[in-house]
Amino acid sequence: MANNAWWGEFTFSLQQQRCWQLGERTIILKRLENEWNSWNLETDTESDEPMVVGELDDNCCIEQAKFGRYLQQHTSEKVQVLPLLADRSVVARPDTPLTLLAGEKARLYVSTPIWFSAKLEPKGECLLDLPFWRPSDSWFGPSTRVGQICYAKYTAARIQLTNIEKRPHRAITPISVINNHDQPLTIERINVPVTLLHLYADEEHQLWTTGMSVHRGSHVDNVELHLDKHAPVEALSSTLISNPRVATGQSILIRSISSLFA
Amino acid sequence: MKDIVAFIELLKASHLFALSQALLLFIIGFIFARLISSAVVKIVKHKMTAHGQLFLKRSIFYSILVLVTISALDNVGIDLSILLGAAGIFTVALGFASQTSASNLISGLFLMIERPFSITDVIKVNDITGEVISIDLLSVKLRTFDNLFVRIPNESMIKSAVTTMTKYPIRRADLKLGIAYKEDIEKVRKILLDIAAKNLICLEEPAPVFILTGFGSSSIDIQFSVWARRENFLALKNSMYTEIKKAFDQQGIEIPFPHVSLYAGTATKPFPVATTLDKGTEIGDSEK
Repeated sequence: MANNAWWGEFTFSLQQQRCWQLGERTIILKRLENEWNSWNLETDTESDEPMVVGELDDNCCIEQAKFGRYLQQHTSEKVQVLPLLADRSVVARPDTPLTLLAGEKARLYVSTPIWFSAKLEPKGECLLDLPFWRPSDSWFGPSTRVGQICYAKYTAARIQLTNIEKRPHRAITPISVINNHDQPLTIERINVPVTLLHLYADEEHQLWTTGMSVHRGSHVDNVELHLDKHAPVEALSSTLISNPRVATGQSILIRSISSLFA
Repeated sequence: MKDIVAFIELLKASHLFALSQALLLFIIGFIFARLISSAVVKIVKHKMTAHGQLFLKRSIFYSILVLVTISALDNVGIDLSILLGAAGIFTVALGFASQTSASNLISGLFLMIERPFSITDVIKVNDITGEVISIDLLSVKLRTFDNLFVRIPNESMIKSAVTTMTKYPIRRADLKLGIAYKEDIEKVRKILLDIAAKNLICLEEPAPVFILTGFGSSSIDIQFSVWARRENFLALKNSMYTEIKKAFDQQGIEIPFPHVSLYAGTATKPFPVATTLDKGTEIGDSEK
C-alpha cells in the first residue's frame, strides 16, 4: 500500500492533468479554461497494486478510455478527491457458509468496493462518482417481489485481522455478530448497508467503515443492527474521510433477520 | 332608473332569473371544482404516484360538481326526489340504449379501484405492449414503443389478460439455446454460468437457472434463465446472447440449425448433392 493518500484537495493549474492509476485502471482529470475533461479507463480484473497519483506518462490509454466533458464558466483550481462507499448496500457472500453456534459471538471483517469521487471547490459540484471496479448487481430480499437491489461480492469474511489484505480500493467493515438464540445462526450472505456508514482512514491510509454489531436475541425472527458512532478500534489513529451517502440519525435499527442474513 | 328596477323585478318574477342564477352557480362551481382539485393535487404531488394524483383530482372534481349541480337544480326549484325517481327510469332506458358505454364506465371504476396497473406502467394487452398514459372512465390510453397512441375500452381490459411488466423491480430473461448432440452438457453449463457471473447487470441472486428442456430435432435444447433489474432487461438479453455466441465460438461449441436431407423413399439412398459451376469456370472436385 502506498504511503501517500490518493485523496484530498488537489490544485490544478490550467491545462494540467492528473491521473489516478491502479494497475491499468486509470482515471484522468484535466483542467481547461472553461471545462474539465475526464478519462475513465476500466479494466476487467481487479488489481491489488498500490494507487499511483501523478502525471500520465504516455497518452496511449486515453484513446480507449471513456471521455467526459464538464462545462463551467471559469474553472476553479481546486478539486476535492474523496473515496466513497458504494451507492447501494453490498451483499457479501462468504466462500463457505459460516455457522455461529448458539450463545456465541464473532467479529467478521468484510471488505467492500470504493468509489472515486471528485468535487469542485468551493461549491462542491460533483465531477465524478464512479467505482474502481463496479460490482455485479444482486437482489436481496425474502422474495422476488420484496427486497432491494444491491451489489454482490464474494468475500473471505476474515475473522483474523492479520489475514486481511489491505487494498487502496477497498474499505473494511468490522461486523460483530452475537447469537443469543438457542439455535445456531448460519450466515450464507450478509447485507452490509454501506450507504449508512462513515468512512475512515487509519495511519497507513487503509480505509475502514463504521463498525456494525448484529444482535440476535432469543426471539425467533428479530435481529438488532447497531451502527457504531466511532471508527473501529482496529483502525489506529483514524481520521474521518467521508460521511454516509444516506444521512440517518438512528444508530439502532431493528430489522427482521431475513433482511440481514440469508 | 325606474325602468331598470322594474326590469329586475320582472326578471325576478320570471323563471329566467332563477335559471340565470343556477347557471351562474354551476359555472362558478365548475371553476371552483377545477381550482380546488388542482390545488389539492399540487400540495400532495410529491407524496403520490401519477395514478393516485389523477384519481384524487377526479374524485374531488366530480364530488364538488355533483354538489354544485344539486344546489343549482334546487335553486331552479326542481324537486330532487322527483328527479331521482325520474332518473331511475331514465337510467334503465339509458342503460339499454348505451350498454357498451355503461359497461366501460363500470369497468373503468373497477380498474381504478383494483389498480392492476398505474399510469407510467408498461402493460401488455393481447398483442399490444405500451406505456399507460391515461386511465379514463371509458378507456385506457397507451403509447406503444413505436410511438403510436392506442385506446383500449375498459371493458376489453377487464375481460382480457393484462400483463403489467413494470410491477416488480426485477425480471427474468429466459434464454433459449441449442447445442449440438456431440457437445459436453456439463462444460456448456459451466460456460454459461461463468458468462452470467461476469456480466455485471446479471443479478447474482436470484441465481441463474440452467434447464435442459429436451432433445430437439437438431439440437439439445437448453433454457438458461438469468435475472436483471427491469430497466436492464433488454440490455441483459442482448449482452448475454452476444457473450454466449462469442464464448461458444471460442470454445468450439456448435450451435446447430435444422439439417435437411433429401430422401426419395425407403428403398433408396439420399440423393447425392453436387454443385454445378458456371460456364467458363474450372470443374470442381465434386464433378470429377
